[in-house]
Amino acid sequence: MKRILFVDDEPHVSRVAQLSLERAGYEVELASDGLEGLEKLLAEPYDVLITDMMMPRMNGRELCEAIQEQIPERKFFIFVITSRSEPEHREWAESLPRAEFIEKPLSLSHLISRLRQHLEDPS
Amino acid sequence: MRDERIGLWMIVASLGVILVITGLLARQQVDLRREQARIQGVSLVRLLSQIPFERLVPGGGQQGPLQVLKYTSHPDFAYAAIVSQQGEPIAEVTAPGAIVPHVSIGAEPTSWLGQRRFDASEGSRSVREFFAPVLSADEVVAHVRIGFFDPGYGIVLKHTSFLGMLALPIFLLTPLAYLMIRRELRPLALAHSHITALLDGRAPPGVRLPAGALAEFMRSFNRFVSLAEQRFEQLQKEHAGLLTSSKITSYHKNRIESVLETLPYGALVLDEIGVVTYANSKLDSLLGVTRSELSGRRPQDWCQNPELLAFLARFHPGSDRLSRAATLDLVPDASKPQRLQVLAHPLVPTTAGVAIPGTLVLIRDVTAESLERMGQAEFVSHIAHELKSPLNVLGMYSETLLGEEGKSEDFRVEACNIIHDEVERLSSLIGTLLSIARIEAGVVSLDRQRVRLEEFLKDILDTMSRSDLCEDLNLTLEIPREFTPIYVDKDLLRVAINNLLTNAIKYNRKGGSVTLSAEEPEEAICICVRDTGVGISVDDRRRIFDKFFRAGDSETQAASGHGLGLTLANQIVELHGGRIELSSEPGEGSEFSIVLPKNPALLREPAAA
Repeated sequence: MKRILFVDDEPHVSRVAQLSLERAGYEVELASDGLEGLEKLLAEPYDVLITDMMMPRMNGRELCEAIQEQIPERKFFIFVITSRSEPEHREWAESLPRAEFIEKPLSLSHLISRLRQHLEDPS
Repeated sequence: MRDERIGLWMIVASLGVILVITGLLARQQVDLRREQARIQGVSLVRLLSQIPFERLVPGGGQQGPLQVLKYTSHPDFAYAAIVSQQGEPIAEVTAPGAIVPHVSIGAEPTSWLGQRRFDASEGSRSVREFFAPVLSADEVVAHVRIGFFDPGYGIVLKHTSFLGMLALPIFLLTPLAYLMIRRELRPLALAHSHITALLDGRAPPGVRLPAGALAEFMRSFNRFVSLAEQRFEQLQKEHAGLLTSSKITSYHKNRIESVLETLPYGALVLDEIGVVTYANSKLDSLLGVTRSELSGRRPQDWCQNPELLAFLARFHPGSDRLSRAATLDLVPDASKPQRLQVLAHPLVPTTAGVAIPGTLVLIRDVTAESLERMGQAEFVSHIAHELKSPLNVLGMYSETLLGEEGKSEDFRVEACNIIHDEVERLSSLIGTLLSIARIEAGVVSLDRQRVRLEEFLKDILDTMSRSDLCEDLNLTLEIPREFTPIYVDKDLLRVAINNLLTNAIKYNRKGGSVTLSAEEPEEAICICVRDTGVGISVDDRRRIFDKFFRAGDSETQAASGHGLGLTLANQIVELHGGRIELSSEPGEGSEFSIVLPKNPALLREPAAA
């Protein structure tokens, strides 16, 4: 079973995302901010990281930069959930290797279809 | 004074002349007498030496020719003597008081003929002696010696009458010459007093000048002086006129400079080739160059910013010279928030139609506006995010409800509750935005109602303590006594207190406390919210009530918020005629106090509309 780390400071979002992703057949771990996410990524292997941008302590961008630095040979794919109101973040997310940005408001069915595509065809 | 000195000098000079003349005359007299004595002495000696000795000294009581000399008229005659070969006197004749000095005659014939001098000794005058041998049958038998006194200057005394005759005309001529010179010099003295009077700034004395060549010169001189005086007066008048017009010009110039200095902008005036002819002092803070560094220099000499330099160059003479106003938005240093706006206007002709080529450059600090614009953009971005977050949750739950999960009763209940909360959150945010917009637009009128403060605050705190945010926090209410009932807009004041409380809770530490208290000093009602949170730095305290402002520290940034809560609270309190006071110790906590002065509106029931 593929393991997904879902990082979001909004508990309601995490809760409903976890429900849907588990139903879609994935194992889902949650983290409430970038720092907690990084700790989990360093401790255990994951297949996919899904992260929000605006979070306390460590935001999504800082998390990705920390990953680039601390896990340079990462295998997992990254989905960054950004919104149109943060154009500079979106630009940055596009430049990130092995990553994709998904726009808010988040559609779970869209997220799951992108996930499937990447996990089955990792090229 | 000058005249007396001239007179004195003349007397001294005339005395000097008399003395010199007298001296010369005396000298001449003495020389003359000496010469007479020599001639007489030589001829007498020669005469006597040729008389035979027997006749020269007859003996036997007879008088020889020597006796004749006793009666000589020569005043300086001293003696005449015949002496033997051994120097013994044989016969002698002397003037009264004269003695024949003794001399021994030498053996050599060269010492027998000549003259010698006996210097004055005690009691006798100096004597010049002429001598020669007396021959008898070619044998020297005796010697003739004739002495004459050396003439002294005392003889001059004998000529005093002559000297008096000589001195008298000189003495008489001296005052005459003095008077004449004085007469001739008088115009000069008058001219001197004229010039002195002019130099002292007095009117020169009007004196009629005597006749004479110098007087003629002085008359011309006086005419010249009076002309010069007229010209001087004219120049003085012109000078006064110029001084006045210069003062007026300077006043106008100062006025214009003062206007340019008062402008809330940096101001520069460039001439047609771009040289700075005026710069006000505000440029120092805007461009970092002082007036003295700018004055009289071209932009390339002082302007470090290539963009500004290129902009100013467009107003120099050249093919693409701009003849209309232009604006440049300038970022002097990309690492700093300072933003400048440069406005350049070619100078327009004055109302009198005088065209002065050049450019007026105004430099405006638009940092605050730029920050506000950025703040507004950020605010909009933030609001979009704030609006999107609940929408995101709503979207995800509704999507999930439509799927398999929707079949679960538990999930449906949970989803409905969450959807309800998110709708509340959206509604509250929109409410805050609307309140601020309405207060700022001035369309809010307070709906004052009677409020019992102790109940009101208790209700607010109770509601707040039910929130999830308050876990791990100790919320207390401190109300020491009953308060005077007040008339406030309950709903708005509740929003204000809620916002303060929300901040106190949000920015607190785990296990910290939040205290809501009230005091009633004489003049006001105070509602205080005290926390044990992160505190607010001195810099942030100044901007804490600004719209969109959020403290810069990471802990504050971490907490959700849109930077509007304190703005709205402050606006509401100000609407009530009050103010919010803040004291804070970074790291220890903050205390916000709503101070409502006890004015009639606060204490009395509003009249029914």
